[in-house]
Amino acid sequence: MTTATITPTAPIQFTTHSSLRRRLVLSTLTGAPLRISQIRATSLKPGLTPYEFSLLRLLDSLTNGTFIEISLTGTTLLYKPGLITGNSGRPLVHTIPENCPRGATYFLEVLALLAPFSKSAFSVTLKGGVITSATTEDYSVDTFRTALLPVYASFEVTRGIEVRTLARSSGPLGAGEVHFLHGHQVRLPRTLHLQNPGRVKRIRGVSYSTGVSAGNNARMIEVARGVLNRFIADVYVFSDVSKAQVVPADYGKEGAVEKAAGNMKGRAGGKTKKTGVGFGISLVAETSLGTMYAADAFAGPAEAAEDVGKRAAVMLLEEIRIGGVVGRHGLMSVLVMMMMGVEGDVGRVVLGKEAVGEEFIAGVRDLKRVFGGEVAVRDGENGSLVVSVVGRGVGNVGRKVA
Amino acid sequence: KQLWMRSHRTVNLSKLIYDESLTPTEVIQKWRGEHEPKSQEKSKNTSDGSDSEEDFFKKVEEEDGEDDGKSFKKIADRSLPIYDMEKLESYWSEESALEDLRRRFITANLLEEK
Repeated sequence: MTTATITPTAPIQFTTHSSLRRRLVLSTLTGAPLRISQIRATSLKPGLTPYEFSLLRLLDSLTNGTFIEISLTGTTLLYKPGLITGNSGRPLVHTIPENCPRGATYFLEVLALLAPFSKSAFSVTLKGGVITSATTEDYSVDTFRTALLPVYASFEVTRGIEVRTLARSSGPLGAGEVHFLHGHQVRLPRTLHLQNPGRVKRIRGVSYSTGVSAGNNARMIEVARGVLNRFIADVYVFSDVSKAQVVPADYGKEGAVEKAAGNMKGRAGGKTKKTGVGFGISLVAETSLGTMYAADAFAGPAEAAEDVGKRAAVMLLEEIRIGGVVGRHGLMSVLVMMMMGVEGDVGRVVLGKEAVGEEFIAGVRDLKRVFGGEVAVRDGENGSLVVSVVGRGVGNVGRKVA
Repeated sequence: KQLWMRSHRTVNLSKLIYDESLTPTEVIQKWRGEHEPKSQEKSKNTSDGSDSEEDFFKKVEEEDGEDDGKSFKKIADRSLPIYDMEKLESYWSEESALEDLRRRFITANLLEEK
């Protein structure tokens, strides 16, 4: 009676909230159930955060048959992933909690990794507390669009992908809107062999200011160019100026949405305020062989535009110095895509030594737990590391042909 | 500036990666040959000893620190790397560092190399 499909597999056990997002994504891709316990068990605010709930809800609406069980305190999570079905034909609007401290890329990265293995196309509009600028933990939507999507292009995932920033907003209380379209599904991602990063041939960027003077953009750009122009003349940074978002006066306060009970216009007695005011810059260096290095800087409290521009430029130089065929921003995406690849095929990427950090170690350990495959590391030329990943042939369950 | 000591070769890393007795932070510290913070060494030493009460209190303290996100934040779903801005600014204000980087750009003069 028992066939392979209905044999209950014991869930993989994880603890704490660290790398929760990555673990959920890996689980969804492979279909392996997870049990995560001790989520902020000793914290004053135990359990999952609102944005983690929001991520679970997003995963639920893009899959079919996902089973999520959360304990009363929220410190234990059982996650049995369903089939990634996408939502073609029915555009999905996902509302992020108003006080979400994470940038929109927190969700977009997940979408970008799941979409190639979906049964049908993705069309997701992120609304609510969307922060399109960089935060302390996430890079900006501009970097996502210009630097992370090309990473997927090296796996030949290119068609019908679009990220539209409909409304810009900065942190800490965002109110932006981003539309994510992804229409390119693959059966199995191709095996990657990237040995040579090439040399930087151009630098592009986007500087954005929301609700503040456009002069900030000009000042950031000037300083960034001042640092980068000595290396290369082809530096072009776009300038994007937009108004601040007008929101109800109680926006982002805990319980405010529930209090309004659907009557969003009359919230807070009709009083409004501006939110998402700030400015920042995203810089991307492209090499002759298509490798991207990215840096993001966002203005801290009372920080001068010159300092932000300088910071971004210096970070970009550091990324270029660390090197590797994939920038640090796309490292995990590449490793996951390689693991998903043709079974038994060995893919190789060359990384800079300093690109290998705690995040990398924790990442490959999670990959081993979920996929069951290890990565091999050996010394490369002039101080680089060669990481070889054997494909596990998981691929796209929902599609028999590409 | 020799960032990487001789004794720490990549062979070491591939062994360390999947050594579950070490946390990712410890793996990186070992591999890079950095000295572990003293508090960690201390707690390791005392955990073997019989002085359990003091050890107990210490551990809770450490966990609290993790919960505040000080030591834990680093592997908590970040997508932006952490930069030490002071170090970077001083490093990149040196002319030699900037010239070193030039060979990573297409404007570099390949004929003069070596």
